[in-house]
Amino acid sequence: MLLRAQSLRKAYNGRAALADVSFSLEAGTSLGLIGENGAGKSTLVGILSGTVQPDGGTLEWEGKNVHIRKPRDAAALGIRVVPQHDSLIGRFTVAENVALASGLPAFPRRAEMRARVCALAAELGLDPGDPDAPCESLSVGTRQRVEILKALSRPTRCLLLDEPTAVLTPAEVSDLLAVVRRLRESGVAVVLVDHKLHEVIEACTRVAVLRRGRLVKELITEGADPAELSRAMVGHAVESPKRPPAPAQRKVLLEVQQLTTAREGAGVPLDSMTFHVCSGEIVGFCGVDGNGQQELVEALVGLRSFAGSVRCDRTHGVAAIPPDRRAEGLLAGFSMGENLHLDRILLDRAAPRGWLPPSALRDAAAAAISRFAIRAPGPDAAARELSGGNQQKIVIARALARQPSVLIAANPTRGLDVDAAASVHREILQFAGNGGGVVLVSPDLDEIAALAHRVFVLSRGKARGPFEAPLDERAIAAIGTAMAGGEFE
Amino acid sequence: MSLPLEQPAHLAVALATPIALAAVGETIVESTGVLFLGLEGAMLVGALGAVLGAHASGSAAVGVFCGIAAGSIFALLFAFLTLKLRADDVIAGTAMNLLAAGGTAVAWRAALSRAGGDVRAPGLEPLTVPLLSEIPFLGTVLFQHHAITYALILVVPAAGIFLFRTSAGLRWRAAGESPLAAASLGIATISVRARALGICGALAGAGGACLSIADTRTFVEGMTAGRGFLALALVIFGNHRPGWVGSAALLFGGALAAQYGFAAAGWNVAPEAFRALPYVLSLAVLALFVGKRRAPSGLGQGLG
Amino acid sequence: MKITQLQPGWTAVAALLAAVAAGSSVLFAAGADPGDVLAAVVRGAFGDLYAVGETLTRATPLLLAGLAVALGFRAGVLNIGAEGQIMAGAAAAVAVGLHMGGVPAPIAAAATLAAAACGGAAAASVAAWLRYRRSVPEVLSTILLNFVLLNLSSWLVRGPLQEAARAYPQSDRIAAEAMLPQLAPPTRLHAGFLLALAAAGCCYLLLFRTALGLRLRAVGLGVQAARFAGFEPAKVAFFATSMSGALAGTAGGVEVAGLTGRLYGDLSGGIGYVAIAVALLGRLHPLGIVAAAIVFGALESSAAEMQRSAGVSAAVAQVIEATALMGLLAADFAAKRASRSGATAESAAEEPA
Repeated sequence: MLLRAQSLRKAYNGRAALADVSFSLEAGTSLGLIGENGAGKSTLVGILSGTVQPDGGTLEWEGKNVHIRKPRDAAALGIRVVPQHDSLIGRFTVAENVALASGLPAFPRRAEMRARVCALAAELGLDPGDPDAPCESLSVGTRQRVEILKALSRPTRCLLLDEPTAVLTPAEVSDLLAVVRRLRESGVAVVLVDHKLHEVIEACTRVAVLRRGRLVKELITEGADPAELSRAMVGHAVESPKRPPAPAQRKVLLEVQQLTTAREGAGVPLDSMTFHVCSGEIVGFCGVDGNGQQELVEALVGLRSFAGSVRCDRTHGVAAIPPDRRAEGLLAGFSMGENLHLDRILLDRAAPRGWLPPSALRDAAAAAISRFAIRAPGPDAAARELSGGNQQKIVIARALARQPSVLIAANPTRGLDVDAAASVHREILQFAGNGGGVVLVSPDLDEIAALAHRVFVLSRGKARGPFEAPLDERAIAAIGTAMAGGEFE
Repeated sequence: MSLPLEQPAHLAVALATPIALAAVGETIVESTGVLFLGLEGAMLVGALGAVLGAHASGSAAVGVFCGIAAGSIFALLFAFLTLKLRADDVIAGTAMNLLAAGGTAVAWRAALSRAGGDVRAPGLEPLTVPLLSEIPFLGTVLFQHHAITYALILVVPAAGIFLFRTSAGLRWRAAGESPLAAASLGIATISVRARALGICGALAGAGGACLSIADTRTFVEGMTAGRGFLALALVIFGNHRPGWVGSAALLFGGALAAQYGFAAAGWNVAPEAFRALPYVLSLAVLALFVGKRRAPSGLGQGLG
Repeated sequence: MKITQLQPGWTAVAALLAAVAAGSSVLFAAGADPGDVLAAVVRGAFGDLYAVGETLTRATPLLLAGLAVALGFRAGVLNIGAEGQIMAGAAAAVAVGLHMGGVPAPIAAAATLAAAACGGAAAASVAAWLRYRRSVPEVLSTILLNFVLLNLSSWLVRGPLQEAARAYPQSDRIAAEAMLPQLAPPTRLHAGFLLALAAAGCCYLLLFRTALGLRLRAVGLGVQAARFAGFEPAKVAFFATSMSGALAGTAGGVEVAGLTGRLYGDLSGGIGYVAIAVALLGRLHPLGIVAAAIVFGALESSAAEMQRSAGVSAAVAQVIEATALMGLLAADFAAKRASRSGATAESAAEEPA
């Protein structure tokens, strides 16, 4: 037995993130760790990689008790981690990033570093592209391959992959799963943290299901019933959101023609995008992050200059759920009421002569709390005191308060647990059901497929498609190809 | 026989030395992601430490050593504030500068009253390098200085090689780009930054020592007069490359030397204009070049 | 730690106490009799009417400059240039105040102070322009501008603005009409203190009771969120920088019109730097800054008294101020550590990022 964890416990502020979790891991096997957001997966990965200290429980490594107090301890055992968000140094080259991980002589030479990366890449069958390219210029998928090369550049006994497929195109996902299988066959123990069942079933020998900090099920993948796993993961049957039928009367609310933006920094400029959104319609934009999503959202809400035209049926008719809730959606230090007025139009409406009485803020917060069932300590609470799902409700409340005709929802459920995600979906569907138009931008194809009436694929700043709902298997395959930047018929 | 410009160029090197030392130190420390705004204070503390040390021991060399030690300890106090107490770089730097201004004044007055009103230090004498100083022009310009300037001539390329040609330098710069990424590489960002601050403080202290015991041979309250801040601007101008930063300092030394040239030529320009010149120059340089420069991504962001 | 992430107010009080304790122990170590020192401190700060007047007089420019720093910091603008902006304001006040003879007093004083505000704002706008047009970090540009402005004013008092007698590097006295009324003769306390209190009230209303204040704080807390809100962060920050400069300039103007009547080359004397400590100890909150400014005013007033009676250098005040700021950093750290198991860890657990 390579690794045995017994009764691991961890609580944050009295709230259990992990409760009595035990499992074991053998060399040459792969364990799929699945669970919803908030189930405790990241805490478990943190404990194994030395960034989180458990409150209780033991870890055995090859039969001996070990304490992993810091990342270095984990590294010394041969535990390598590929984190959810890559930790590459953007300005350094691929070769430098890998060399830093693997150790290098006092006076390193460029050619040596390059040769080392190429040899390693060939051995593992992972293509990191040009070893002299700075990592910031690489696509998300390539960066992840570099991250895996970094991890495997030293002798590895156990590899932890934390939600590695979230940012990949379907083709990249199957390549990655193939790498997982190869590593397992070569005797490495692999832990694949994921929340997509089919991926785990495809690549892992065993699967463990985490729910609310407990290990609720552990079984051999072969012959496992996906439906049973799915129930175990969520704990109850989840109603998949029901898309209302596409509206019969087609009143165009938003018309975008030849939308083109200039190149700015590392972003991907939009390249003559043309689409429209009708009343009651949800138009989905699917694609790997960094293919123009940010640019699209910013252009549509008027934060970015562009060529071409964006016409909405009324002025200020577009409101957005920004792509990054924490940085763009709200301010953690602001109260709920202040966050609800983090919008020029709403602020001007609340303070026509510039005066903003505190009662206006508190009333708005109280109204939002009751309308959206926000769980908060009180109307004066700061946003940082709220959970992610409740924070997102504030963002949605603010967007809807503008009474827009079109709602841009970018990554609306990122990082939310099932129930919170479901309530966000309900709001979006209700908005569309009442005659609003929705632009749904998300890297999650499942989410897009469930909600959108029409789907475009965003790839290198271009919109491919549209694909009409419901998406059949051929359409899904074509979308996958398009997400990878390939051509389709 | 001396070539025209030989004396001004010599003077430019002499005037550039303290700023260049501090600027190279700041380059190192900023490469590891720390904005050491207390550079001015470290120079001031170094200047005082050098005078007191030299006065007490009667030896200029001991004085220089004391200046270096004082600057280094000062920077390590800043390290404690920012790395241990996680204080913001700008605030901690401001506090440190206040402390240096007040603390050196208090200490200096105490030293003066104890010594009966006169603290003079043995000065650092220029050393003429045999053979090298015989080279026409360059010999006079570069090789008739005091020891600190020679140290600078070695420190600039050494810093460049260290930061950009060694694995340790790569690690230090990694800590400056992203402490998070550095942690995943097993780099101890806190210790890297603390060591860089120690070195930076030492260099700034040497620069301060250069001002006090090489030039005036005594201490004057606030004698650094913003040179530490000029050095901060030079680091940006020189794009965080020790070689370029050193050359930029030389350029500023030239600007400072020009005022003596004007005075010698009998031109009547207000001395305040000359004193303001380096600051105006550095603002102009920043306005022109900052957009084209890229500082380490983690600069001044704390431990993330 | 981000500047705009505020910790509770008790840390500021703890920091001050620690600094005073540290300062007294240094004095004790330096051989001063602690009893003498303590007596001098109390006498100098609050001993009699004169001492109280002196404390408030010294608090006045600290309060205005502290508000200036805080307004900038709140908007994420690290204006370290209050020192130079004070000088710019003082110079502008003198340039206008000299020509106010014969103008009705309230108008003359108002014009003088308005000139001071404009002078400070103009100086700060240079930094704002450098920041938002040329992306020069304002931390650096404001510091460098300090040295330019200090040299500029020392040139002014030896050149264009030098007194008619040409004896000293100082300007002539501004017109009597432009001077602010004295509040409690024989103390030096003048109407500038009331003005500073009013400014604190206005800053409070601006920050916490207006839409503009919300925009300003939003920009300080997160530029991206402010941008998505349609707040135009660059414009807001430009405004905050100019306002900050105007307040600092007013501090210089009040020193001239309430106290000196003349421009000196070293009129600001480090107030601009101490103001940063005042703003931070006041938690960037206008009312907190009033308290911090009065405490620091008392400190400086008693330092002057100590210099007279206990023979202790007035620079000790500066050391105590710096120590208080560092003590604040330490206390904040302690407060943060005490609440570490709180909300941040919880949300981190929920949303691994």
